[in-house]
Amino acid sequence: MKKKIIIISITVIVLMGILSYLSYLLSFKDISFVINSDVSEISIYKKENIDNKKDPKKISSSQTIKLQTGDYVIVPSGFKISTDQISVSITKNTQININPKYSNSYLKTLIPGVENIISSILLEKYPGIMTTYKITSSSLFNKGEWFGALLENKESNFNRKKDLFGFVAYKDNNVWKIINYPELILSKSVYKTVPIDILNGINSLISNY
Amino acid sequence: MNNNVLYKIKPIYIIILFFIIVISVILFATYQKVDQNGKIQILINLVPKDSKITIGSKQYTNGLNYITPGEYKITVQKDGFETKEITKELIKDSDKVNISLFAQSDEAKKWVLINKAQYSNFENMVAKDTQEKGVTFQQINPITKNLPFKNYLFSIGYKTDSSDKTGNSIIITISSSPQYRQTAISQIERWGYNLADYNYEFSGFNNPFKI
Repeated sequence: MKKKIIIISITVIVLMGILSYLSYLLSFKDISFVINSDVSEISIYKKENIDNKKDPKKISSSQTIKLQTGDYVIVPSGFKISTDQISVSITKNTQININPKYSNSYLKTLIPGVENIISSILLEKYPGIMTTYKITSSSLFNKGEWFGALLENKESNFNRKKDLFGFVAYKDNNVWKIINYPELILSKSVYKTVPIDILNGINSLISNY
Repeated sequence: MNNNVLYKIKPIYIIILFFIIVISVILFATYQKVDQNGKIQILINLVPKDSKITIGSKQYTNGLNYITPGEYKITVQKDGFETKEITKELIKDSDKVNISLFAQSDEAKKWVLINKAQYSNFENMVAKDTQEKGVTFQQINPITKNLPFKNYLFSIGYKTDSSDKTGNSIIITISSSPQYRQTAISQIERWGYNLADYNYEFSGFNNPFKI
């Protein structure tokens, strides 16, 4: 009798052990990293290890690796790109695209060339009005495909302030296009195709000018 | 007699039964957790309570249910009652589906007379939800807490946006001379609101670029 109880107890314990081990194995997911050519390497940290930069997994090309479910922080590195951290939560097999935006310092080097193109587009689109406005506070966003700036009335001065307009342009197939038209504030419900961080960036230029 | 039967059950069977129950509970809890993964908790309130409700292509029951977030065609039906069909977005926990059916057949009308309490409870609950929606409007448009705002340079107010059928969207109205429009815009940002979240109407303003 005692023997039977011992055998059953051991069987149950072994079964539970196997279940726990299976559960541990199942917690590893296949994560396929697709890394943009601008990225020279990515470091993958468990969220709790990011502050002391402990035990990173490093990858320099697109590949699939196994990661345990949980929260991770990815730090990309490369010449042109922003090294902003990317937070991901692993819950299932998935593909993660690593395609960071350009760094601000790199984007700044591109502004003068783009500003000339945008200026001529505006002049062509608004020939009458653009004689009294000038482009100011130009910014490029993401991978340089979004451009935002302000249009300031040339006659505007401290005592006689005139309306300041914000606008956004997008480069599609290497051709720049002004989205909608310049406005006093860019609302997300009007500029639906424009990412919110770009709208916020331009609105912030307007309110702080 | 019964005591004797219990006495005769071998302890080994009790132990086996215990482990079967424990493992079953673990498996059931795991299944529940997997089944609810990625779903939201919605409360379905139906009158009559035993009406048949179909959300998308699946059937649910009165009470608490788990559903994948999305926009659904919802159909509620019961013999003798008018069938109701609505389209609703179920996107967050605490979203509710409140539907009551009108009696059509004589038998259904009799049922309604007997079960008046179900209808009055339902109406109370819907009234409570409507009251909560008032709070929701301010939660959706937190800037309304600061409005109307007026100083000697500009005034900022709001009106409901008639193009939004939910009645939850607003248009910020700004009244000022051209010189202080930007100051009014800066005021909204100083309050801590995201300028892009709202639509605006400036009094006496014609956009020269809108051609």
